[in-house]
Parts: sequence; structure tokens; C-alpha cells
Amino acid sequence: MYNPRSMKASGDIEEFILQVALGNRSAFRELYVRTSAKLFGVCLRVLKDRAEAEDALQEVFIKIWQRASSFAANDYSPMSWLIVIARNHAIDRIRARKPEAADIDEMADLSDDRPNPEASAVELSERRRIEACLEELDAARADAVRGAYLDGYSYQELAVRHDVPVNTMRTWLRRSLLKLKECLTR
Amino acid sequence: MSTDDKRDERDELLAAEYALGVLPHAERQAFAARLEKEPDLRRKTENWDQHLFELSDEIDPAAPRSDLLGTIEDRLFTPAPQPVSWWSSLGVWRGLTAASLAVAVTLGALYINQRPVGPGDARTYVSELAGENSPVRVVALYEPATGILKVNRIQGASATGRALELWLIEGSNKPVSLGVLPAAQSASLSVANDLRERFEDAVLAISDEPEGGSPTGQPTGAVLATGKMTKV
Repeated sequence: MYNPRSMKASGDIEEFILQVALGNRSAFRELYVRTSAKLFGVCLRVLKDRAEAEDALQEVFIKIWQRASSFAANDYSPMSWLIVIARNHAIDRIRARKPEAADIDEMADLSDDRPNPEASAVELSERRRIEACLEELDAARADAVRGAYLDGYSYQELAVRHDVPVNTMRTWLRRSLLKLKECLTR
Repeated sequence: MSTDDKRDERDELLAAEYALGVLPHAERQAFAARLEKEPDLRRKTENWDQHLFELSDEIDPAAPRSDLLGTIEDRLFTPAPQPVSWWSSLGVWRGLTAASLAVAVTLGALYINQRPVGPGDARTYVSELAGENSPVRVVALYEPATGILKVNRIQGASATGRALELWLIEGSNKPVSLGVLPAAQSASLSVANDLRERFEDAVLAISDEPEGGSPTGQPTGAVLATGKMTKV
């Protein structure tokens, strides 16, 4: 079964987070030294502005300090836990900064595009599973998923980039996500 | 598909959309509130987070500015400053960027252009007051000839039941109150006679105070915005 925690040689990072949960300030400092460049990269990629990404990184590390005790209670690998905090914060910031029409229709019928149970099983190594599954999608749709994850594009922005109405974009992406899910759990 | 299956698929998709980050602000907030209470939804979201995490290999690391760790540690580990030490925190005005100064000068010029031209003392001072972690932004314009300080609150307001108080600070002297900002966005304050010639190189600051202003005659709450007076 998919278990990223066992895949990552990140024992040190995990140990630092657990120490931070105990209020260990030097562990916090060490965690910052080892992970801030990656987490800053995540914020910068989404926010596209150094000053704002630096503000975001401050908030991210404050959240890490405050939430470290919840780390042990979930199944995240250490780096994915940190990156999720950074990405969610950066995306919350950018969504709050650029409010857009909230009501995108999500009720479109997706049932005619259910994953085909006879789809040929693909041998996937545990690693890069998501990459392999993205390759099973149309190139444009895989691009939309990547753009959303890496650059923090909203439905609105994806719709503009792919030149389709926003409701169409949402239906597209949701179908892609169902296919991805099917592939990831195959 | 049964109703339960449909709801399950809907939640699965919302979890994916949340993990991916595509939802509009209001929907994200609503979903985050549900995550607090619904372990099943949390599990679905964690699953997507873990899968998508593999894509983060493509994100290049970048170095933030070198003093950022110190700032974070100060925020986490330095106890809230006591009222007496408020004064020392005014060093923040030195961080005012050239850009914000340019804004103040431009706005000041706009004011000046609207003013009838006359003989006599034409000195005018402007300042843009802003703070790093506060939404309050105020442009102030002062003419010693009239003793009138015009303030225009372009952003931010006092919290409910609180007031914004304006202070004049010369060099290392203690702040002197110029009064509480009225609720109106722009106002003209009359500066007391003994303060009228004290704006050269002075700093203006706005602090958060109880309604009616500081009870002590010195700032008691957080400094929300500061700006240096510049002669234009």
C-alpha cells in the first residue's frame, strides 16, 4: 500500500517536528534551516512576489510551531505535512486577495465519464505514481492539474488559460480528478 | 448510485479540489470549517495531499531574506512589549520604503494643487502612515501657516469600541498626542500653538487606544501605523 512516510529519507525532519511539538526552540531553528528554502519556494511559486511570500513564510512557521503537536496524530510524511501547511496558507492568501465569483456550478453530471473498469492495469512503481496517473489524462487536463498544484491557479484562472467557461473547467477538472483517483487506487 | 454514494463522491471531489487549491475563497473557508469536524473528510483530504505532494518535487527551493528566522522567533518567543517600551518600537518607521514616501509626496502634491496660492509661509509637510502588520493607512498633510493638520484615512479603521490616536514624535522625545482621529475618513485637526513649529523631521504615529483616547497621555496600545513628515 502507498505509504509515503516509509518512502522518504526524512527521519531527521520528523524528529525535529516531534521535538518542536515539545516546545524545543533549537529544534525549531534547525527545522527552519533545513526546510525554509523549500517552503519559501512553495509560497513564492503561488504568490509570485518575494515580499508577500516572505510574509507568508513567517505565518507558515508560526503555524508549524503551533500545530506541531498534531503532526504525530496524522499519516502525513514530514515533508508533505510541512508543504501542505505552506501551500494551504499561500493559497488562502491569494484567494482572499483576489476574491472571485464564488458560485461555480458543481452539479454537472459526471456519471457518463466514470472510470472504465476495464482500463488496462498499469504497473506503477510506488514512487511517481501521480506522474504516471497524470500521463493517462489528456495533456491539457494533466496541465490544468499541474498548474493548479504548482502555481496555485484557481478555477477562474484555469478557465482563462484554457479558454473555456469556468463551469466547463470545473466539470473537466472534476472528471480528471475522478480518473486520477481511480488510477491512484488501482 | 445511492444518495450516500453520491454524497461520498461529492466529498471526495471537494477534498481533491481543496487539496489542489482550486476552490474560490468562500468555498475553501467552508470546506476548512468542515475539516475541523469531519474525520472522514480529513482522511480523504490527507489522501489527496499525500498523492499530490509528489508533484512538489518540481518546485525549486528559494532563499528567503536572511533575517526572517529572527523575525519569526521574535514573534513567537518575545513576550508582548510593555507600554513603557512602546517608544522603542517606533524604529519601525525607518523601514518605510522609498515607494511609500513617493506615494505620500504625490498625494501631498495633489493637495497642494487644490489649494489657493497666496503669499506668506508656504511650507507644507506630508506623511504616509502605514504599518507592517496593520491595514491602517493614513495620509497626513500639515501647513504651519494655518496650524491645520489634514488627515485622510485611505484604509483601515479602529476596532469596535476602540479609537485611533495620532501622535507627534520629535527625535527621541516622548510622543505628544495630536488627538483622536474622528470616524470620518478625512478630517482637519487644529494643532495646538506650542506644537505648530515641531513638525520638521518629526514622525507621526497612530496607536490603538480605548474610546476617547489614551487615559495616560502616552500611547498604551499597539502602534498601527507610522510615517515620517517630509517637507514638500
